[in-house]
Amino acid sequence: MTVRLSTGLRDKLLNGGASGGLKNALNLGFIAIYSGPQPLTADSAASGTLLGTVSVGGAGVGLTFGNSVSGTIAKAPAEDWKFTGLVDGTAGWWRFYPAAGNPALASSTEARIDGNIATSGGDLNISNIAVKIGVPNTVDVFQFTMPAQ
Amino acid sequence: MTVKSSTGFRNHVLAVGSVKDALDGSKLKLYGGAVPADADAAAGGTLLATITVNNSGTPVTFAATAESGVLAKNDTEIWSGLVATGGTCTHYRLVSPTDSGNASSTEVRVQGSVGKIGADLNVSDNVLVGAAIQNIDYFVVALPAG
Repeated sequence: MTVRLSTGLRDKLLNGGASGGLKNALNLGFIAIYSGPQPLTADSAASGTLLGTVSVGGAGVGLTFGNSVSGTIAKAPAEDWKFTGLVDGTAGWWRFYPAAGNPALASSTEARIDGNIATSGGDLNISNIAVKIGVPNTVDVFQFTMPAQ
Repeated sequence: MTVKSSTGFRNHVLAVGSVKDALDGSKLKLYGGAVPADADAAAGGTLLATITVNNSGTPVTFAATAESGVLAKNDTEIWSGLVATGGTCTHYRLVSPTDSGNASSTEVRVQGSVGKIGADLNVSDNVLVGAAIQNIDYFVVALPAG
């Protein structure tokens, strides 16, 4: 299990300009929830079955982050991050992608973060990884820490 | 040794702007002696030289674009500085020209080791000679993929 950054995100973090940063690179993006193991890299095409897409309130509105504190940025606290199961399956991994992105395709330019999902000890923990069609799930905690070294 | 970034730098890259935005306009300070525990700590050791564009005092900048997750120095610039005090260079800090060097959780800083080989910043000879001009020909910042 490893959080993986796409080449596109790394390049945007490096030279994305004065309004760049991770917050801007993924502003109003979404989290796609897939079954199975995560791909080798965040540049790779998605693998597994798309089980749902996390948005604000599950209504298709893109996600935003709050301010960064002590090197950690977290979901905007006022937002309710939710997805509804598209098919039955066991959530295995997630991909955070930008508003105009396509998580299914291979890309070396799209800003993405990948990680695995578990009920505990995952890169993203949710209370129930057994996704059921039509049943809502929430992502209550999401944060990303920039390592100091 | 590992490249260490300050809390101010990390917060900037997460929510304010890019690495280039954070580090363009910095000065590269070369130190001898004890290496601070992290980039938030107060500067340690002896300041041997301050690297600017062609030793003019003009802060340095980085390339316009990153490639494959790596941002390099602006290759049109000559990074150099006068060695104010001779000695063995142990570490560097890339800092804002206004950075006081005091402990800080808001200053944008990157810190790493200096050596001939296997260091975060490799130079042809890390024993700097007083009153000589020290060049830095190669400097990159990379973000790991995972």
